[in-house]
Amino acid sequence: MDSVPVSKRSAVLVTVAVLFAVAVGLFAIDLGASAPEPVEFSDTRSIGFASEVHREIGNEAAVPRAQVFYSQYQYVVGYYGLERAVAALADPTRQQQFGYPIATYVTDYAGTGIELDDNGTIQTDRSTAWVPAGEAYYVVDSDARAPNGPIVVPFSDRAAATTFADQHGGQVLDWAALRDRPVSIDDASLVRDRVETQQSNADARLRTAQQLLERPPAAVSTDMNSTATIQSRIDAAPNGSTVVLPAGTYEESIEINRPMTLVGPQTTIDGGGEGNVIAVSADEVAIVGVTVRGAGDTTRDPNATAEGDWDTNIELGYGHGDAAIAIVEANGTLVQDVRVPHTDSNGILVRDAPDTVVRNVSVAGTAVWRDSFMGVMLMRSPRTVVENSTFLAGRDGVYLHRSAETVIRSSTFTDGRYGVHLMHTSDALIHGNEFANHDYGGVTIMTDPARNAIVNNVVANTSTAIGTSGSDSYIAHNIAVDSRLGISTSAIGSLYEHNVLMGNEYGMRTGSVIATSDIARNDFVDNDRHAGAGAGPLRIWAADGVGNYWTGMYGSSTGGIYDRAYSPTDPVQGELHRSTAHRTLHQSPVYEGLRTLKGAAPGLRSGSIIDPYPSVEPHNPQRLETAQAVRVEGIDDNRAHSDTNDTEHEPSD
Amino acid sequence: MTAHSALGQGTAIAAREVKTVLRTRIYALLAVGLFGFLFVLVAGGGGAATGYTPAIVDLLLPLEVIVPVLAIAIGYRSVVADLDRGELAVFTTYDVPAPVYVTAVYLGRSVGMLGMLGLPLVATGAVIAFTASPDTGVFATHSGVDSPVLFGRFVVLTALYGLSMLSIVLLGSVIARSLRTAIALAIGAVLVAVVGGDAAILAGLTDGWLGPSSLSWSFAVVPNSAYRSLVLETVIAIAAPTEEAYGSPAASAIGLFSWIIGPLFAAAAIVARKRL
Amino acid sequence: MIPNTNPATERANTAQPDRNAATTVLAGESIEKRYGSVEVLSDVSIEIPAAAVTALVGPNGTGKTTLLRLLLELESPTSGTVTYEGPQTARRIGYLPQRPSFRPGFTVAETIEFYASLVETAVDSDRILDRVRLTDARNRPVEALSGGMTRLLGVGQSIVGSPPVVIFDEPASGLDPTMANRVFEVADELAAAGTAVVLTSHNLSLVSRHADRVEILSEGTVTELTAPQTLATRYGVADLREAYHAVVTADPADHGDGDDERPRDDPTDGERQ
Repeated sequence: MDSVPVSKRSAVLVTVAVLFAVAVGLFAIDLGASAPEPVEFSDTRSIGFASEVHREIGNEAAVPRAQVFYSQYQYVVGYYGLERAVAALADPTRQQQFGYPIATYVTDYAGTGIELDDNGTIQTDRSTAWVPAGEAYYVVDSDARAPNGPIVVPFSDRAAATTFADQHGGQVLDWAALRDRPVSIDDASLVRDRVETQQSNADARLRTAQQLLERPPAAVSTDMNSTATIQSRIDAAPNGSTVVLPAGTYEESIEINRPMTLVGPQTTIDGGGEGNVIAVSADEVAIVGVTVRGAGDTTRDPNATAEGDWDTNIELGYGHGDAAIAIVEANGTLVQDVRVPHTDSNGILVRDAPDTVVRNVSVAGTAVWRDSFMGVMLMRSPRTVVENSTFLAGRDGVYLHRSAETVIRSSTFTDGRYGVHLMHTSDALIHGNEFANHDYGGVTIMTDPARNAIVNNVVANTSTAIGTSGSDSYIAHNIAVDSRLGISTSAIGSLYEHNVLMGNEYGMRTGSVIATSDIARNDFVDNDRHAGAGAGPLRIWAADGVGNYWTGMYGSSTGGIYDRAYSPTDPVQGELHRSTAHRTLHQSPVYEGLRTLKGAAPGLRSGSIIDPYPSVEPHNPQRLETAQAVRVEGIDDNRAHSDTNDTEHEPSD
Repeated sequence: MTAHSALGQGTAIAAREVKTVLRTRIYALLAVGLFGFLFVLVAGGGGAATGYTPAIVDLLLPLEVIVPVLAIAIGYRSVVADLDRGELAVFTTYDVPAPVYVTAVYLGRSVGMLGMLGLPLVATGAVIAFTASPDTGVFATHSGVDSPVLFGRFVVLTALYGLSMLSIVLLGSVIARSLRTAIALAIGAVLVAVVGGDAAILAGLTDGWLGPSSLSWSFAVVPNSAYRSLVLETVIAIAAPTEEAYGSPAASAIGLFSWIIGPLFAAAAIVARKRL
Repeated sequence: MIPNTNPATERANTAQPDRNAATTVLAGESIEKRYGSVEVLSDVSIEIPAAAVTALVGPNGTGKTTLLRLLLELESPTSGTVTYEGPQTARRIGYLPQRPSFRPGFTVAETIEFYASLVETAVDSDRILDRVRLTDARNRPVEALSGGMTRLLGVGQSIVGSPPVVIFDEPASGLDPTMANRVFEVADELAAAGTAVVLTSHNLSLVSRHADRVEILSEGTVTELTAPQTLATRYGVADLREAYHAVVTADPADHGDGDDERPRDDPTDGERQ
């Protein structure tokens, strides 16, 4: 009986006992017990403010914030404004994606010496702390405001909250009461509803600018013969008059520093390759009909600093290059019916010149985009309108830098780097344009702005047809064909609907780790891959029980919706439209079983997209035909703004 | 027969079973194959890149199917081969009591079962630990309630499920009179327990003799349903809580343990009465 | 071993004075065994003495194996009793099945050590291997053993724990003469050391040379139980073979020797001549 030595036997016994204890212990641990500690807000994945608004706020403490730890989401989600946090916590799809909140912290203003300035902006003497949301008291309807409206102010201490309410109005609520309170936040649907208004606002600006065409002609003095310089004619004209130029080619650079209108339908102005050809430095100047060439080849200020943030040198350098027409610190300029047949720098440079209108203009840059600059360079010039224009080659068709509320519509962009390129620009509308053959992108939004609308555009044969960023944007009714990527859904809290993605390498692709957008009613047709996703929670691409149309999906359906969900990232389903063999696997009960089981615990998948309501028929048959035609014939014969729900604007040529 | 010698005999027989498992190369190959399979599952499902819980969701159904197969591979020969060789008759001359023999064979084989199942699972857990790190260093991260503890629970529950399957297979091996009937019996027993049980529950729901209120209890009666409901309730529901329970954990746990103990009792009783 | 001598006779004459005093260690009393309506054994009484080789011979199907299984208590008699009367030891009866087989993957030594660990007393495995002439093969895996060596290992297994009784079921069947002889030699040695050895065999020449007592089973009854020489004398025949046939051919239904054992063609016969 001694063949197993006692020491060996007790070693076995000890091992078994330890394993047993560990096994039991695993079930004894209460996993919900340890709530994580709050983190620096800058380390959270934050939602709520466009970066340029962020800069306006300056002081972080001016806006109450919340941070939420979700059970199935490895990033801590930060919210600017408690309204946004409350709305997110109330949203059931958020739980599906992130799991349930295991800890929520809010900014604590108790003991910070909180005051409000005249605008209602919060000022503090001492830095704020974090308090668990359930333990805080909230002052609502007070005078406190953020750039986007009234804000809820939290305190860890009821007395402090009451004191604040006494001084600045409002009432004190606890967390439960705050969550029961209806909230409304700016979101993408507001941007959708705003498109019409934005169009008519642009129309109004247009009408205002066109009044400049009504100015009386300046009397032409007798000593001014047909060879007189344009500059001399300008200098001789009174403010508010129209200078009508005789036909011909003028080799000169001119400056307009008083409000007047320059008209020259048969006139070519050649700057001789030095500096700006036409420089505008006064308000309410109009330049109509001229052809401009011979701008210098300086694309930007070569001495701009290379220090600071990555875009400091852009902001200081861009907007300081040469241009066919340079409009600097001048309001309400109109540039109409102007041709820039070639430029080695910018076509029209607009710097610190709000309410500029550029219409029916054509600009051609260099075939190699690095050799020239922007068709229209907008630097800090909000509320600009660019319409019915054509941009060929060069770097970007229209480059916008801190030029909010700009409207770019019914224009054509081909063969450049980007078609329209937004930096630090919110509330813009990009509508009814056509883009083709861009090296980098058709419409590209960078630097996390908010509330942009990209509507009704057609992009063909471009690297990234529409690249988004930021939040609360509206990307709808667009067509992207034959591109590497149709639409990037990186803008969060946004609405992507009624787009047609056809023949792209990727139809849509999301790069954001946050999945808070609604993506529905789009048609995905014959893309190499209909959609792709990076790391992050499960993306559910449907809204209000309506999904998207995906070629390749098949099966039984009820009411026009397939009975089975469709996942474009699924290795089997994602290939259905490309490979019949995948249908064989698609029918496997094991495959079905695996998918069913995965469905039992949603919100847990990385890099997956699922459409619970795939449509049997396309959502946008009309647009689909257009897309087909664009693929065959190119963009020229298939103007996007011929679409039925496009708002038509009369071309003036 | 004293208690001491029963323990000694049990230890010797169990040790022989362990050695047999260790020396049978096909089992090592199966373990490696299982790891490969699990790896493909968690890598392919995207679970590994996200965390333990998604990976568990990916693994649950396949394991429900694979574990019985492993149990058959490890257990179907165990008793019937001894019978076939006349060793059972020889054991009676050593006064080895049937319960000691059955328990020892079971314990020895279960070491093999746990090793074959546990090592690949732990290795898979390690893979997840390495791959599930966040994709960017820009933002603060936390693990949520996803934790190795959840995966540990999953491994323990899977091991229990494996042990119950092994117990059923062992019973089949005890009933069989030849290796050929043994494999048929093992497959049959597992099918009855796994497919038959769920089918009965489904039929019960369809015919109405099983009400929604007794549904969660009925899972306890079927080993794989008990396993599934335990995993959903004690592992996945932690990360993604639901309004209602996936099943009754206590009943399921008792059910699973009964499926381990019950067939062993039956097997011991049969060995004691068997013509050797 | 010197050829052509009968070790059992030598033992009877010289080795163990108390041998003929025949201390009974295992006794069957009025055993009847039926399987349903088929009666296999009827009224068999048998006493197994210590320090002797007891051989059960008889045609196939006469219940030799059944009697062994009853003695082993693998089965219970329909009526009658089997009583162990030997000393209380860790293991009472050792058993060599007809075709012993061992779990593959283990060596000869490991196999013996495994069985050794099933008994409570200390077992000298090396000595057992030595006794069954398997010391040289101790590290060989059991599946690589020849049939004879496997049988020897079975014998080794049967004596683990030094049981007062060992039962060999057809220990020589299917073995070449040398190997068959070796197995019987081991039986001799065990008997010489005081063990009660019970064996069945169709090899009458080996039985007559090595067995102290022979029981001929026929038609479910014990015909004789005595030393082979006495048996031959009683039937007025030259040797056991003839005695055997005298008993067996008296049966109305001759069961013959239709299986692979074939005692008539046993090559050991030739060897003996």
